[in-house]
Amino acid sequence: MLTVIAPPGSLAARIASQVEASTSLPKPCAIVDAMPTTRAAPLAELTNADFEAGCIASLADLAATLANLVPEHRHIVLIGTNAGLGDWDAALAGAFAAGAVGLMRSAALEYAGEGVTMNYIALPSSDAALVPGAAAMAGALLAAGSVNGQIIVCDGGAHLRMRAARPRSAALPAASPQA
Amino acid sequence: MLPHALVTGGAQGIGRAVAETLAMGGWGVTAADRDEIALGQAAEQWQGIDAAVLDVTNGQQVAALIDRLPPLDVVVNCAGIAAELLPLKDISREAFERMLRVNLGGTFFLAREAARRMERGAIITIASRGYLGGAGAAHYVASKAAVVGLTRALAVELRWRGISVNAVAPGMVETRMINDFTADMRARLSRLEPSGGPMPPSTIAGAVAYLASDAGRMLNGQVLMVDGGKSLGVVPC
Repeated sequence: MLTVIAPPGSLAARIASQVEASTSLPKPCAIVDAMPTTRAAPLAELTNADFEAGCIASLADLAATLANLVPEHRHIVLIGTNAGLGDWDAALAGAFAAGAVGLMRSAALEYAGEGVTMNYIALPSSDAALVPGAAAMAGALLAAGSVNGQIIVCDGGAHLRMRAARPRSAALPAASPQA
Repeated sequence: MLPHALVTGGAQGIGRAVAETLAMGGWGVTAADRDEIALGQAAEQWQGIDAAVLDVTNGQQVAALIDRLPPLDVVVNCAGIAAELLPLKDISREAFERMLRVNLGGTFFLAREAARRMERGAIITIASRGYLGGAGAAHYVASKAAVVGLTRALAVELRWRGISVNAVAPGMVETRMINDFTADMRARLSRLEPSGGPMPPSTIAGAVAYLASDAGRMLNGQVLMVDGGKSLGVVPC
């Protein structure tokens, strides 16, 4: 049985669909959307409202979601980003992602004794091409139940290039032409 | 003109130790704190440290204070709160949000307002060894882990302007925050420390002073774990 806490059509929802179609889950499991909802912008342009929505409300919502899932759901996978490693225009996305990981690891520690596992799949973007690989990883984590409190970066090793450390013009993709 | 540092949470604990260490090192220092009484008591013993009342959760107050100060070379956000250990399910939304507003919000507002005005220098955040995870402290851990994520993102963005952004992650420190714990909890936490108990705030201040120095500013986006090695996971039993 798989519980999906994700907006319809989201990357997490699509990953969950593939897991349901391909993996037999003997115990109640859950896939939770942990993608940041904040806008990408340089620090100086971020408003108090951006911070409130992008970090305070979203992390409190995620905490409430996880609290409602444990301990009945034995294995839980969060689908988030690797923005916590640091990136351009990602002050709030990075804070949210790292905060979500901290939350996940604390909950994993707290409920490990009851047989609950919780892990975090970190994706570099919302690109649909990432779904098959992430779904295979999520299915393995949910089915095995022996990995706990871990962050699995599913980006084909792209973060090894340390693109974020380059100057802005080389790190960010060119803006799309405006219609 | 002396290089100038703004230290929040400066009336007590780690913040006070940071303010005093930097002042002894020849910095001009403004120590800010929301606790006016504690700030006044500390200020009676200070020379060369200016005191300012500040609520770090209020971005407008942070901006107004920085506008009154000399150009800043370093800002250090030491203002923070902890809480009693609680199961995830028992942490109220109000408590969770308050933890984030103080620990993460204070860091965000100080960094944003400082970065809008600084030409070069260092932004130093105070995380916690606990950011790696801790049962019964989901809200505290989430807030400190978020501080680390914010630190790394800001390091990417601000390094090109000559501003380094790093975090210090202390282990157990002898502060009012720790002294507010019950004796039983304090004893349990002390047993987990490699040194057998909390370290003095001056230890953390030394790490901050290093990150504020010319040599320390060559670090960027790092988390300096000052925890006696507790984060290695080797716990004597």
